Amino acid sequence: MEQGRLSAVVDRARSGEAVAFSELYRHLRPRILGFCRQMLGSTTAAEDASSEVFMRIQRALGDYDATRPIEPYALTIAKRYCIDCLRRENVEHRVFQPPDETFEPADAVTPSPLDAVLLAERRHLLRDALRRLPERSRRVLSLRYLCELSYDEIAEALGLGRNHVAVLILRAKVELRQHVESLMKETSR
Amino acid sequence: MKCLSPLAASIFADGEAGSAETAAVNTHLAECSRCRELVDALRGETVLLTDALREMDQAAAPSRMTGLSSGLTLFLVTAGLLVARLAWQSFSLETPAEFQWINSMGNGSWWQVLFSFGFYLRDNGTEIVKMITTIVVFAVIALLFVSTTWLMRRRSFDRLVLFSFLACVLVMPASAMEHRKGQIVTVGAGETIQDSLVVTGETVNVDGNVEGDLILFCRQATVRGKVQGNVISFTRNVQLEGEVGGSAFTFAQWVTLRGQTSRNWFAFAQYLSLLSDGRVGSNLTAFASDVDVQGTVTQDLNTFSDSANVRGSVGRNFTAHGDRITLAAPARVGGDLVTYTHRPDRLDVQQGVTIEGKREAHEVKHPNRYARPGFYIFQAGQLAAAWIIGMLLMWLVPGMLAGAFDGGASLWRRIGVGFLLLIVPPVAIIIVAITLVGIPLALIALVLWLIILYLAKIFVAALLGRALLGPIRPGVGGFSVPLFIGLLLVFIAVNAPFVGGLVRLGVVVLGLGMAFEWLRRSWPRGVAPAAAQP
Repeated sequence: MEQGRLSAVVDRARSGEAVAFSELYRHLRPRILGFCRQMLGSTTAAEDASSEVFMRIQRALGDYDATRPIEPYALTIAKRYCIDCLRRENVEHRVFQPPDETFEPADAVTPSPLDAVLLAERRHLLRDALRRLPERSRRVLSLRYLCELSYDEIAEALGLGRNHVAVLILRAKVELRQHVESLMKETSR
Repeated sequence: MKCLSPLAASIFADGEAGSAETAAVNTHLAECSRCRELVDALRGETVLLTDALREMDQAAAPSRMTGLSSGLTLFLVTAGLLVARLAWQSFSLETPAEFQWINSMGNGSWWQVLFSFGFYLRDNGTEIVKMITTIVVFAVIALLFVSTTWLMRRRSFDRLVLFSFLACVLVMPASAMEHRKGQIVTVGAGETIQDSLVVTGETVNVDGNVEGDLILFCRQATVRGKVQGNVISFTRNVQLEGEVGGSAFTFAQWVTLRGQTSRNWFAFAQYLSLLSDGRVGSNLTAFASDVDVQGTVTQDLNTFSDSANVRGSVGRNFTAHGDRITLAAPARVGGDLVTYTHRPDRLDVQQGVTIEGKREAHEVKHPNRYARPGFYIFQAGQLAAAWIIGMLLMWLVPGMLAGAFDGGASLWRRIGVGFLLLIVPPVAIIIVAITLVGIPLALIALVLWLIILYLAKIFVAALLGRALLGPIRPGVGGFSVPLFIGLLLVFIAVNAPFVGGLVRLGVVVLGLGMAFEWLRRSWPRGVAPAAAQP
C-alpha cells in the first residue's frame, strides 16, 4: 500500500471505521505475524500473539501520532507484547538459566569472528552451523540479530541480568564459530 | 587502556557499551589496529549472521506453501484416484502370464495379498469398487471442504479453491460414466446410453445412441450410431460411420470416417481415410503416414504426413506438410493451398482441381536453423516461459531453487545421482506399466518425471545465475535477474552448434541431481537439525 493511502486508512481506522481497520489489519498482519514468530519461535504462539497485538493496536490508535509511520509503531507494540510473553514463559519454565558470569573465553581458544570472504560462496555452512546450535543459543542470537532487541530488552524477556545476556550472546557466537570451522573442515576433506 | 577482551569487543560491536566505555574504546581503537580489526570483523559477522537468520526464518515460514502443498496433494490424490478408477474399470485385473511367477514366490507375501485382493475385487463385481470409490470420493470432498474452511482462516484459500474445483471437475464425470467390456461388445441399434460410455474389448460395435462421450479401448471398433459428445478412441482399427455431435480424437493404425463429425477431427494414425460420404464439420488435423481425403472438410485441413491424397472438398485452407502431396480432380480448396515439401516436384496438383485462394508452395530444406528468425522467437518464448516458471517456483516453494545447491554433496555426486535419475525412472515406469495394475502409477510417475526433467534446466540456471552475480538478496524479487541471466546462458549453451546436445545432457543430469539433493535435504526438515546436534 502506498504511503498516502496508508495514512488515509490509518486516519479512518482511528475514527473507528471497522472496514478501515480490517484493511490495516490485512496490510500489517504478515509483518506482525512474522515478527511474532521470530520472537516466540513458534507459529502457533505467533498466531495467538498477533491477534492480541492487533487488539492492542486498535486500542492504542487513539494515542497514535499520525505523523509517524504506522509500521514501526505497530512493531513496537508487538515487541512489547512478545517480551511480556517470553518473560511469563520463562518464569514458568525457567528455560534460560543464568550463565556462569565468569565465562571469558581465553583468546587462544576463541575462534576469530567469521570471515565474510570465506563464507561468501558457502552461506549454507552458516545456516547448517546455526541449525547445530542448541535451541537456546539460537534463540538468543535471533532475538538480538533478527528481532533487533537491545541487551536490556532481551534481559527483560529472559529474566536475566544484562551482563548475563552479553555472556550468552558471546558464548552462542563462539559455539557458532566452532561449528562453522568444523563444518569447513568436513567439507574440504 | 588494555586491548579489548572478547566479551568487551562483542558488547562494543553490538553498540551496547555504556557511553563512558564507548569513549574509552574509541580512543583505544584509534591506536590499536588489532582491536580495530577485531571490531570490524565482529560487525561483518553480525551482518552475515543476520542474513543467515533471516534466510532460515524465511525458509521456516509457514508461507502460502502449506496451503498450496495441501491443495496440490489433494489434487494429485484426486487425480490419481480418478485415473486409478478408470484404469480399474478398463482393464480386468489379471496378472499377465509372464508375471504369474510372482505369486508363487516364497517371500512374495505382499504381492500375494495385492493380487488376491485384486482377484477378490474382480470376482465380486463392480459393486465393491463402486462402494469404495463412493467412499473415497466422499472422503476427498469432505477433506476438501475441511481444508478449505481451514485455509479460509489462513487467508490463502483462493488457490485451494481453484484446486478443489479442478479436483471436483475431475471427479464428476467419472460418476456419470458407463463402462462395458467383453470380447465382443455391441450397443444395439435401438439402444440409447444416457451417460458417457467407456468400452474395452476386442471387437466393439456401437449401433445405438450415446448421449455423452464415447471412449474406446479396443482392437476393432465400428461406430454406426449417433454419439452426441466426443469420440475418443485408442484402437487398432476404427470406422466412424455414424454421426458425432462433438469432436473425434482417434489414435489408431487405420481410421476411416464415413459418417460425420459436427466439430473437429484430430487423428493420429498410420492410414487415415475420409471417405466420399464422410464429412468433418470443422477442421481436420491429421498426423498420419498416409492421408486420403475424398469427403468434405468444412473448414481447414491440416496434414502432417508422408503422403496426402485429396480428392474431396476443403472449405477453407489446406495446409500440408509432407513428402508427397497430391490433389486430384474433383478436389476443391475454398481457401489457400499451403504446402511444405522437400522438393517442388513432390507436389502434384492435377487437372480439374479448383483452388479459390492463393497457392503457396514452400520447399523445406534442412536449413540452418540459426538463420531463421522463428528459431530465435521460439527460443525467446521458451526462455520467458522457463523464467516465469522459475519465478513461480521461487514464489511457491521458497528455498527450492536457492536450496538446491547448498549442502555437502559435491558437484560430481550430484551429476552421478542425476544420471541415475535420468536412466532409472523410465525403466522402472515401463516395468510398473507392464503389470497393468500399475498403469495409473506409471502415468503419474511419468508425468512427474517429465516435469522434473523440464525443471532441471531452471535449477542449473539458478545455480549459474547465483554463481555469477554472487549472493542473492532474499525474496523473490532479488532472484529475477540472476535467474534470467542463468537461463539465458543455459539456452545459449544448449543451442550451441556441435556441443549443444552434450551440454543439454549435462544440464539435465546436473539439474536432476540438484532436484534430488533439494528433495533429500528438505524432506526430513524437522529431523535433520536435531540429529545433527551433538
